[in-house]
Amino acid sequence: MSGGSGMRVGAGFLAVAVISVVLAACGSSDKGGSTSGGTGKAGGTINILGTSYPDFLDPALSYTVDGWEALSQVYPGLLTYEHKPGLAGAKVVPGLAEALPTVSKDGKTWDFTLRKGLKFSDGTPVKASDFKASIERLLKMDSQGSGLGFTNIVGGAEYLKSKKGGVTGITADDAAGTIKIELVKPRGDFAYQLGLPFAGVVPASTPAENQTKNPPPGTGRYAFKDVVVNRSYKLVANPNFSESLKGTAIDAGKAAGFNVTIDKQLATQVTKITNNTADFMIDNPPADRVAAIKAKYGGKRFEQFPTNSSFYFFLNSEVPPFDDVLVRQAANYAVDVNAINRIQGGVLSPANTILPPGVPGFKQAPDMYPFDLAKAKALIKQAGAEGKAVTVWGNDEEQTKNTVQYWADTLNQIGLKAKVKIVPAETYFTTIGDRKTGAQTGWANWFQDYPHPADFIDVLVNPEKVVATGNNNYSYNASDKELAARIDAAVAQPELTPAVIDQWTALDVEIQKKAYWAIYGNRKQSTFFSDRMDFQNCKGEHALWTHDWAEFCLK
Amino acid sequence: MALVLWAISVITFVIFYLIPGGDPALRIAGRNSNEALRAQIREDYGFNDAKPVQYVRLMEKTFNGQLESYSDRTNVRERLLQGVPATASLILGAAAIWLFFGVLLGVISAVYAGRWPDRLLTIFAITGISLPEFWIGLLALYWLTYKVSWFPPGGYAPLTAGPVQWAYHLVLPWATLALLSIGFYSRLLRSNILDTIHDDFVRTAWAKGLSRRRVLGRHVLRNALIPIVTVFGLDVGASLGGAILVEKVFGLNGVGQYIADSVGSLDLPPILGTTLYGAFLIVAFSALVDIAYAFIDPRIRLQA
Amino acid sequence: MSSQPETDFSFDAAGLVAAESGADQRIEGLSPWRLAGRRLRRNRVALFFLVLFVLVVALCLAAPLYADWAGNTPDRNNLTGTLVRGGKKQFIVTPDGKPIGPGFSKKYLLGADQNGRDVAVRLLYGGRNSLFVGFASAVLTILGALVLGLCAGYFRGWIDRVISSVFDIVWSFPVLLFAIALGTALALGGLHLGFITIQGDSLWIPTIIIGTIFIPYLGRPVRGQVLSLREKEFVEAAVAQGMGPLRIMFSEILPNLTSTVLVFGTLTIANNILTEAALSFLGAGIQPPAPSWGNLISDGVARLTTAPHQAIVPGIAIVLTVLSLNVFGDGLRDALDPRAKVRLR
Repeated sequence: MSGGSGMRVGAGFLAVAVISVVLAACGSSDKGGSTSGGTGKAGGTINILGTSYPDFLDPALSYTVDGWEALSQVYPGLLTYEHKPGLAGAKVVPGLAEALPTVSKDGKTWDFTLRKGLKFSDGTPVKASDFKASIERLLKMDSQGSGLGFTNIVGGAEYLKSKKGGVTGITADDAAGTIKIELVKPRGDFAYQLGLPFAGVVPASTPAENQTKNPPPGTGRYAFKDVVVNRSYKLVANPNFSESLKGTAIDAGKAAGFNVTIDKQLATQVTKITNNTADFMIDNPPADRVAAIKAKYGGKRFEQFPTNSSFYFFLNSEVPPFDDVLVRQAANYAVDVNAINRIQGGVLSPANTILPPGVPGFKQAPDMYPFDLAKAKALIKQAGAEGKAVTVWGNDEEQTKNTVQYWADTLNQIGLKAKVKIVPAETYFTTIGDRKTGAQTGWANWFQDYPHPADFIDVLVNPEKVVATGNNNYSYNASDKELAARIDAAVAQPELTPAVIDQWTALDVEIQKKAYWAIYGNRKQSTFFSDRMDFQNCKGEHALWTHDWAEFCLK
Repeated sequence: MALVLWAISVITFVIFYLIPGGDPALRIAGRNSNEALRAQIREDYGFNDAKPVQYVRLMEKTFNGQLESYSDRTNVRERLLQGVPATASLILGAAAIWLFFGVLLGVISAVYAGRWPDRLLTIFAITGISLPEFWIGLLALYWLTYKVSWFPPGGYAPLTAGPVQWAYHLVLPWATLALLSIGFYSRLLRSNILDTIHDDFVRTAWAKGLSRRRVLGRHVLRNALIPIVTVFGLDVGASLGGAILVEKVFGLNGVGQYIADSVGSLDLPPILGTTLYGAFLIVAFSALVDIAYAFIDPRIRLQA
Repeated sequence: MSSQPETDFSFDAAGLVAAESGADQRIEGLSPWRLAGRRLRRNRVALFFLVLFVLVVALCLAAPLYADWAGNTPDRNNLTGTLVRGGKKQFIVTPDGKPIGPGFSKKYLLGADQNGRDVAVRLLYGGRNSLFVGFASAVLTILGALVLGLCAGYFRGWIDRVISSVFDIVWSFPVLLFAIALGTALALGGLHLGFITIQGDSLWIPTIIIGTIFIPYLGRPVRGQVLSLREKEFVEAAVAQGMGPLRIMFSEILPNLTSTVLVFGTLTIANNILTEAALSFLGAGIQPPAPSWGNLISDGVARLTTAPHQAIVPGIAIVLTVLSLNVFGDGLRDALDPRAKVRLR
């Protein structure tokens, strides 16, 4: 998931959160990962501020964090994520389905049974064919989510093309309430993808058009109301919340409702929260105010936590000089996380592994390439790469721009000849993702779609994923067949057993050895509450949604 | 006029197709897409067609109000119209201020030409036109909203939130815009007045023995104002297309900000829409000014 | 008695100047240029600002010398370093990302930016870039306006129609929008015109863009003037003498445009410097990491409340430069056309 999508303006960095008890760096105490989201009273309306309106208030289309924060409360799918803080929130549990699916031995057939007596918020009953129609709607609209596992359904890619005949691989039996999904290739992360809003269930009658102006009814604990595009919207308690969902994972939500308003000025948002006219801001406070806020409200109304995101400099292994592993390793030794953290205004959590701390497969380990400029210089000399020209790519967002200027200067200091090339943010990823561009190195980031290691390693480093355009693998390591085979094998595993998790950890170490990235950090996300909110018990910091509004509560 | 607008639309279209790395299908498909999705999008949006065909399709959509952004699939016309109140409030308010003060100071300057009021006002005027407006806006934000909280730190309050709030949020942007233009207009008026003094018809008026006030007020001022009207009309027309810098600094979310965001993200549909909107305003106000000119300046009327 | 000659509706500058400088001198006819020169020399304010402008330019040209003296380069990042100032050791950039402000030290005299670079050094290097773009683009505007205005005004007919239409189209394009659009587009891919290739980060890109978009603003008045000059007798005489159109344009009409060009020239440089600042501020002008006064200000916006020096300092530089040019341009106009100093009775 790209952190830049829909949020170009300034410091609005949204990320997907994870709380890891391991990270003492942010000074936070144990957030009660084992309890059910803490105590705290129910009721009350919470006022939320956003910097830009969600890209879409339509589950089939939205692909941004603030979109998902709202949509996750309204459109659960067959499977869903626990509304709990910490690693507990990264768990996939039954949502509208009675139980976790029965998966065939070859991992290609998934059987679900729908709960009985389900209703949409307008009272109409939920049928199995509504699920099928929801997925087809996604493909019909050429949604950005199509590639998140839905073209891997038999008939999915064909339906995407022809828009006729439905998705043959989904069989929905309304009478029995069963759904059978057949996959082209077995993938262990399909369950995680089914829990995303893309697979949220809406009535089959919903037109295949952007419904932002008038969002369709859903089955979640909340429903949309009073939607004023680009200004505000409300979430109120679902008047027809299904009986059969009571007590399940979907039945979570302490507040009576949420009023979300858009305020383009982050500074004003901070002022409003400070004087309690608003309760929560979705985006981070501007970098130059964080120090003051931390000093005044740290631990009482404010804290920062690392998110499941990777920030790194990609190293193109197809093109000189980074085609030489020695030069790539030199680059890794040259990265000074301390320095980059200052450019970013202190919102960086240092990292030295491919997987961020909240994703299964992450393992704390000493830095394979501790900061050492002298060593980096020596390696460059050894590789005979002194004076080689390098173009460092970045986009025009404030922090990215400054970070790549730092990176170019650093590469110059170790003996290369680097110069910076800034590209507009909207076209940045498509430019470096074009194999023909031959981008040697530059800034890159990735925010998780779901907390599964495949979402990082398979998407970002799998040599098999290298194509002509639209790449996410900027290391262009297409020739590394051995790595590809290992990653494919891990992806096909249907369940994240400890043994499988170890496989992913080993892959992480392997990728670091080959130095395809110069990784430097995970972005920290802020929680900044008004006085009304119960900071101690209901922070709502979630492994997937960043902030899970269902866990918010007032004092 | 139509020719000009057509030419502008073609130029805009061409500029944005010359950019490398601008395959819109890739952008619409998002980061986690696959080739199937991208190919499909190219089909559905018609990116595989020849450029002239695409141009015609875009223009059709513009006129039908169905133009959609490539970045976020929002309707361009709607977003444009959403930004109009903020921009209009900004420009019309500032224009009223700068016209009033510009004329006032211009007259004072001219009447006291050569003496200290004139010198003082000249210093003020020249300084005014030498200031970068975005920098002044930033200074205002720093000193007047952060060091002391006399004004809100930007943002636009629509009239529905109350006229007091509306004006309160606009004071600084108005002042920033007006500061620059007051200087310009006052100097323009001053030199026009001093030029007009020499014209034959004024000499005739003196010779006829008309009172000083009559000559200055009726004959000189009115004629000196004519070029002002021209420039003012064109200025307002051009600015209504979006005061990009001031809107951006103060976060007013008007048409100008929409333009800056779209151009920054190389999003062709909104760029096309806003450019045509802006050009249309310039051309329309140009025509208005010509008409007004004919009314004000009797010589032109007589010629026509 | 005021130091400016009081005139009424009759005008005899030569006589007046001669009378002032001493009645015992022979009354000579002085050329209008000499007269203008004299008037200009007496305008202390304009001269002062001319000197100021020259000083700014000189300082910017001496940027490498200053960088040596300060011991800093415009590109070297220094994020984790410290500086001793007034006996105290301070972070150049604190761990929270706040750069040090101006102070009395050789290094970082005007403070640091978010990457730990020396603002004073970047200011001077940025000045070189900004002044180059401002000046070169003004030359382009003037040349373009002269050539097109002359051709349109002299030849009239279809040439005039074509040129005027081009003026109309460019002029109707919302100026800043056009500049940003071109700036963004060309910064990405550079300019490829047949055999001429200009890199996307070259200074020539913003120069050409700013230079061309303002051509109609000067071109139209020039065309108007040429249209009226064309009807004058000396042109008729030249035609009768058998002079070709090019010769007439250059030797008869062009000299009469000189004062317009001189005055507009200084104002155009000033205007173009402001435009370059605005474009670079929006990211469509001079591309980072090359410094320019405009993009130095935009660097400072994110830290306006914690490190205001970043945004304030380059603005002061712009104001000083543009103000000097405007005041001097004003003085120049007064010198060339003293009627503007007439006092009302």
